[in-house]
Amino acid sequence: MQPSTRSSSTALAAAVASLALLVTACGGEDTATTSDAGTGSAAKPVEITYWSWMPGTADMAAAFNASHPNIKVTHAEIPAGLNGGYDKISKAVKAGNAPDVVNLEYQAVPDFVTQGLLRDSSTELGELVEGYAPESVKSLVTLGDRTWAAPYDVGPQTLYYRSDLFEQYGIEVPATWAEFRTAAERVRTASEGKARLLDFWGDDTATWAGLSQQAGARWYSATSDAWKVNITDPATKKVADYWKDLVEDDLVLNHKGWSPEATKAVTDSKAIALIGASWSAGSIKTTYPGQAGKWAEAPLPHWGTPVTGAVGGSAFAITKDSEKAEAAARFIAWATTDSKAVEARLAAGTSSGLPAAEKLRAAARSTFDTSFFAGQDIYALAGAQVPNIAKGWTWSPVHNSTTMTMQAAFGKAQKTGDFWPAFQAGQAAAEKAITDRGLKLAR
Amino acid sequence: MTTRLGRGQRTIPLLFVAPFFILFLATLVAPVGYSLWMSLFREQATSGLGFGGTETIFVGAGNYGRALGDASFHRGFLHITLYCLIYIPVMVGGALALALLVDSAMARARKFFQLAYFLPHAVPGLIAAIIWGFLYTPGLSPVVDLLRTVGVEWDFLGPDGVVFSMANAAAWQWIGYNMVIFYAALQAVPKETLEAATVDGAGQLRTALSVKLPMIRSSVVLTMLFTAVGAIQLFNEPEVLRSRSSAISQDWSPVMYIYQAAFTEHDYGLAAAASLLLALLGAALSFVITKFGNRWKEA
Repeated sequence: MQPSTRSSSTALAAAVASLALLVTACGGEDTATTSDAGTGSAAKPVEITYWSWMPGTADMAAAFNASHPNIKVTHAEIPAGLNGGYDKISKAVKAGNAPDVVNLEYQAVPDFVTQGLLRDSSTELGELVEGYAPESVKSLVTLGDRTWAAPYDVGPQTLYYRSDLFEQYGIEVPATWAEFRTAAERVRTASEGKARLLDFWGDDTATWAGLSQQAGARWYSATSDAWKVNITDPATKKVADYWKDLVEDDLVLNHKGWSPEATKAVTDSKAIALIGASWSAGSIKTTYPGQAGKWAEAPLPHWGTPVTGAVGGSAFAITKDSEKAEAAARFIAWATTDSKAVEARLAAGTSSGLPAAEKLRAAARSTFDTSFFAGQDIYALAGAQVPNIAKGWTWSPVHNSTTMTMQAAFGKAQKTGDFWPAFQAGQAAAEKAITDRGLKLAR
Repeated sequence: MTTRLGRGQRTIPLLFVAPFFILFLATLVAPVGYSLWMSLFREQATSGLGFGGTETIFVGAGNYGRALGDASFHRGFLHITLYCLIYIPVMVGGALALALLVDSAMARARKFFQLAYFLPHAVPGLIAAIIWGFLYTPGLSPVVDLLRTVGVEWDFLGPDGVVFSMANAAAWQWIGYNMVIFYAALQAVPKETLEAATVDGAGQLRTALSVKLPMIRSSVVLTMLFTAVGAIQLFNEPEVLRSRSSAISQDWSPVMYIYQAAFTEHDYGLAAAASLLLALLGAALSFVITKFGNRWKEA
């Protein structure tokens, strides 16, 4: 066997080059938009396209089409946001074949706005959003006094706990973080060290953001002409120190968020509570089917006054060059404020998402079987938390990359609980990313 | 006078090589050229808050400078260097040892062992990484439990252990494959040479190390080349283990860094520049290994 090494090395180099380049060179499939501008009629409906990866949205679009003969929505499923969906949207806008309507997570909105991918929809959606959106989500879609998207849902942070084990270990649901610590000590003693009160997902930046928001932090803000980053503020430090103590004193578990190890800890009753948001009820129900009837939801413990943070949630937005913004806005108005939309979207019964529009919550509740939570009215509980969400939070255009830096740094603190350096790393990363993008950084 | 025949003689070979060149141009030269073009530009916000969108500006070699100056890009190379230092000796050594064992006169059931060792390679890399991920997860893995019962606390997914875990998963998958290559090469070693060695009084071990091994050098060099070039593109294992290990960041390896620059940060200029740098390294690496390997072969 005597391979001709020279030519094979050239071919290999070539192969390496092409593989590495595939990463950057591919993407950007096109989806043609049928051009038919105008207001539309039953005979000749306006056709708009809508891209989303969120469960139930295809059924929702179908329900819209059934009741709105003048507008025809074509739904296309795309990969989930950061797994390629956002990239696909961004390429499509640049290539001039973007859909008219897209779904975005709140933390992606400023990113999209500063990339020039969204239409300033103040005219089309401003009044609508003013009409139904709670203050806490309005600030996530309004940047520079302009409305860029319409909120669909809101995710107040809450505490989920095993009511059976709380009873067994003789603890009350903690209302404050001080009581939470006492309860954590109690669980460890009462279970003879077998269980801990909580599996804290210490590498989950979203959880940290919510907890910091609750404590009074505002990580980002837009001044008149610059972005301000304040991840290392005293309120965040207070939160970081609180959890450092709990991890150091072995009062909570600290697994990687969403990891099989974390799931296992809850399955084995080694962790008996979780910090989540309104939408977590659905995933807890599907992840731990064996613990049906044993779970309950409570307001998140607080620092003295009942305030909570928010995690997750998504909005509808019109893309930059949509020529049918009017029809798109009508679809969005229906999708965010009509109970038929929520019924169609949540028909599968697996989502516990809390609509931002209060009047839709009854319809949402009717789709979700709460026997897993022993019949508790989790919608009423989550809904009652919405006014308590700390006001004035905004995301920044660079939050995705900041999250990455922070998550990696949080990972290093998994055993030690020394979380603070991760926030410092996040501050530096966000500042660097802002200047890298040519945005102005306020000092 | 140029005859029809003359023209035909020139065009017919062209027809035969055309499929190669068309594909070569479309799938290699064009993307490389496009990346080169992309790597010269950068998206920048048009206002302080960025609400006006972005504009594309020409930055020349600026993106290359940024990639080369980025500490996390450096760390990626450090990570794969560490990975190679563990993985290549284990994998090539293991494959060689197995091939020589199966080839030795004492071996029974050769076909069976050949197949058995090769089997892991039939499992797609991504699936293998997922399965190993489970085997590394405390609380789920019988291996971790077993180690614990004998008093060994080893965190497969921790900052110290995770590179070994990755090398282990990759070695499991590739040892058998490369063993087959080495074994095939060993079949080409002339019987007379082996007989001569036996007549000269060489035992099994001596024959393996001093006769067989030098005669399959070219296969070993080729394997090392494939392995090193594959290793700099490390992506599957760390990407899959990332969901389980806090020790792996989203830009852990250079390819992950590129992926992240392109798809999380929309920084295509940086991603293109980093891709080209990585491709250059791949080309340089194959050149060095081939040169070095040729010298070894001639020695």
